[in-house]
Amino acid sequence: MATALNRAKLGAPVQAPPLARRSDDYRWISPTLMILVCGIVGLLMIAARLYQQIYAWSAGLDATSPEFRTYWMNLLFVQFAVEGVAAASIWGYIWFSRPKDLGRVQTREELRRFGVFVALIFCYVFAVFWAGSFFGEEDASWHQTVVRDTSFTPSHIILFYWAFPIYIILGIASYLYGMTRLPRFAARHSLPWIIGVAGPFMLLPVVAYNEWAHSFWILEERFAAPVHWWFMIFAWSGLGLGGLLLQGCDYLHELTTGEAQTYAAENDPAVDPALEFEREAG
Amino acid sequence: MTAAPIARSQPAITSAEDLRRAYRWFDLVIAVLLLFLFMALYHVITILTVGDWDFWSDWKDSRWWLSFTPIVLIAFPAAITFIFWSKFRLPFAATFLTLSLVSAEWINRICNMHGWAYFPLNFVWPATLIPGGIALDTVLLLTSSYLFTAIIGGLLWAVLFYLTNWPLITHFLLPVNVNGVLMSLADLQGFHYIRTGTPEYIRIINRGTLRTFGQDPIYLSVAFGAFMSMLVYMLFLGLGWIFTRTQFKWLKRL
Amino acid sequence: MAQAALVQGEVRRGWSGSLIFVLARLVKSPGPALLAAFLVLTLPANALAHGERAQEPSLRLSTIQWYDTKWSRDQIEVNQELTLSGRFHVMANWPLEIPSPAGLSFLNVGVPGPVFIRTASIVNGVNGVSSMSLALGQDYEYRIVLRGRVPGRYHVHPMLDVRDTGPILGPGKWVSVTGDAAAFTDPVTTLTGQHLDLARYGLGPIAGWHLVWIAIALLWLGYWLRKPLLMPRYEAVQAGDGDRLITRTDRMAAAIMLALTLIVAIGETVLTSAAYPVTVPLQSNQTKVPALAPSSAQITLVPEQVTYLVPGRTVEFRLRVANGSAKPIRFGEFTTANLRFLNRAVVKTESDYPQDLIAPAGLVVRPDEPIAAGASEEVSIEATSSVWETDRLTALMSDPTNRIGGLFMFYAPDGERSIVEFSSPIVPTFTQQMRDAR
Repeated sequence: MATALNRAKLGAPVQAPPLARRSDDYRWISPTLMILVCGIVGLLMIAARLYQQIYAWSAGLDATSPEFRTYWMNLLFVQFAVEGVAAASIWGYIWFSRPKDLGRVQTREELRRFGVFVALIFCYVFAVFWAGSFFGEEDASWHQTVVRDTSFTPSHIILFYWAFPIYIILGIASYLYGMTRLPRFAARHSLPWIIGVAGPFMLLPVVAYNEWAHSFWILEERFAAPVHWWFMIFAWSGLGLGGLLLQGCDYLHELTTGEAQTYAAENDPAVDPALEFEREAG
Repeated sequence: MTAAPIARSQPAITSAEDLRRAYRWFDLVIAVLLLFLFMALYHVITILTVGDWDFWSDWKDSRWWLSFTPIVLIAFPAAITFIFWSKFRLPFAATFLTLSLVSAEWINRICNMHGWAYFPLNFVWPATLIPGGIALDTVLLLTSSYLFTAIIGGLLWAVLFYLTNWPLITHFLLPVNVNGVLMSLADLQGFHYIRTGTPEYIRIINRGTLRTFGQDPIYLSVAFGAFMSMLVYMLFLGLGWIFTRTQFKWLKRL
Repeated sequence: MAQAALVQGEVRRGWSGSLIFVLARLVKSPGPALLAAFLVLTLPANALAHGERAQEPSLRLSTIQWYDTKWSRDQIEVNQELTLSGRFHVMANWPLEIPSPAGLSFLNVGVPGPVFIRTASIVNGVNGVSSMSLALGQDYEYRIVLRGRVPGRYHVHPMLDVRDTGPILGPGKWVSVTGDAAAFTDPVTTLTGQHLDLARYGLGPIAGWHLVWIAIALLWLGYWLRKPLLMPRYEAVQAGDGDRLITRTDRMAAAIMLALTLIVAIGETVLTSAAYPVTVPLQSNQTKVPALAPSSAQITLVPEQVTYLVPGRTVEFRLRVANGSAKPIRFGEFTTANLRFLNRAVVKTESDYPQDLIAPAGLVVRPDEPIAAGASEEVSIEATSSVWETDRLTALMSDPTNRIGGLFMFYAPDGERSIVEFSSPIVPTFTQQMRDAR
């Protein structure tokens, strides 16, 4: 089955230009990209935290009050708007600017793209840290301290409706990047990578289940409750990044040494997903 | 088209020195990525299972905290250890995880529990799992055996949790007379530092039973924690194995 | 009041909060400054509720009725005491669909975090450190002593947490705390004779031991990170040569690390046990609390019809009162869910009670005549207040259960008060004509 992305035949092997001898050339995972994106993510998260510091206690205790509407519900709607625009623009840009050269990309260029892919995953993981660790435990310091009001509390509005969507946008962006720029990830879907993106995404539907439960029968603010264990199960799905690391090591070996990493399947000869792609392109 | 693997006609890196530096750069980026990943995942798992015992000193009891914490928290290190030992022969996963967890917890306690909600840090200090993590890693390296690591490492994981955290809570188990009622300093902290959402009865702590096997449940909890940790370690090595198998799973495009 | 509310947001912070706040100021652009000005100008005078409006109205009306609530002061300094006292009634007609305090409950304080500390609480003579089992239909007297800790302006409520039901908040009053947060101390003397400041005690050893373990972990990680980490090892393992990756030096390092860990851990335990030979486990405090002596007056109320006139925000009671006491009585007050309706001919308002919880229209009783001892009268009562609506107490159209509960307080000529629990279904009425037609 031919892929939709590239029907070009494989050209003859082209002599790659020799690696330049600049001192920073070994940094094939772009530090600029990591610093820039993580810097933006960090600023957005710190801004959210500062906003909570100023407006949570003074305007966030009562969901029926006008100041809550002003400072928190309006923030929620602004967040939705920003996330919608960001997702559409980032994903749209990655998709519509995809190259058409997957069948004949130079190894050096492929390594550069792989570096961008790893950098995007780094940024995704950085955002997951803010959501799962920083704002995740911060939720305890709100809910075990004050009376639970509605589902939209100052901690939830930042945790579930700002931090979670940010990492979801970055996760899907990095997935799209791999799918559109790297032959290996274009030809087939990497199962561990799907798990690593879809699993943390699933935390958002679990939020809906949790709020339903808290409205009706889990009325105590303990974290140690079975209703929270679904979050934990999807946190485990982050182990998919372990499988992806191994796939990445194979890919890096192939790109840097020229030797394809292949694994014999039961009845087939050696299988390499990039090979599959090239076969289909032919 | 041939089914034989097509080697790249020209690798991206041609000199050994460049290759070494490129691999080293990969190491550093992945090491920092793993720090954030471990902080995120292990912290989420901790919060939602043993979080309450870890947040507050008046939850750190001798029945639940001492047993439940090591049993539940050995699972993730087991899975990650399998990946890093079987594929890289790297015995640092448990130490890396426990260090990441403690770092993430302190960041949160300082910035949020204290900085946002104004709880004193001596009330919301986290437990440390680092000694157990070091034990798991070093036993694995010394024995090169998952089975011995599960047995000896699992035992040490629970015992070290007790040996290195019980002294911390001991500071807060001094007796106080509060208007005619005996309390420990930890109980008093819970009484003084008001938590509107956390009434006294919500604590899952040792509230006494008719049978005591010699009064102090500490050693029973540690023993139970040790044996269960061994089992959980073995079980979750299996989960790590499953995730290493996903390395070979590439799904057809729809 | 709006300015004070802004002060509440600004002033209260610990050292890390101060740092964050300073940073916030440094990066502030005109936008947030405008927002802050908007806040000052538009913040309503009463930001009263703290989550209770989100609770089911029929439950707030029918669970705990707080009365005689007193706050000893409304302005204190850091380290100064404030006493919160009063009584609460556990409704005999507790909603069957939610667990009652006959299980477990805990007398708590509704404040935004530990901006006060609680130094004492007593319920009917029983120490309030305990979780308690309370009886339905009984009254309990409480006293809570707080001490100011973090400067700011806070709404302070008594509250009762009921297991598996959640918090039930009492009336709230604004209290200001002034002074310096750093001056706060929490002096405690242990039974072993140690004098310590509970706000700061123990942090040094805890942080110290944590740092020791973090340093040891960094040693181990540093040992591995200084070597090539991933690709060379991966390739060696792929080639089947993984075992040569573990060298003799590695094993020695591991042995040393393990030994170091065990020695430090055992040392930590031994040192701490020697320093603290007398300890107690965490105390489990749960107890039953005796109720106050029940009122001897035999006054019964039989509801005939209770309606809520939606446009007028009026609850109208038609009920029959049987005065089985030895004295004539008059309706003095109706209270429910912290809202008070006073018959001004009988009861004077306390000026230091939060006025937003006292309905301006009061309690209108027809006929407003004393009911003689032994007599039985049919009475019509109106309780009008916008708070029925703003507090969502009469969101009857969206509530699966439509009932109202509360306490009626009667007064004899000599001032003796009798409190009678009231509970009845309630039916909304949408027009005056519909009401008049009944």
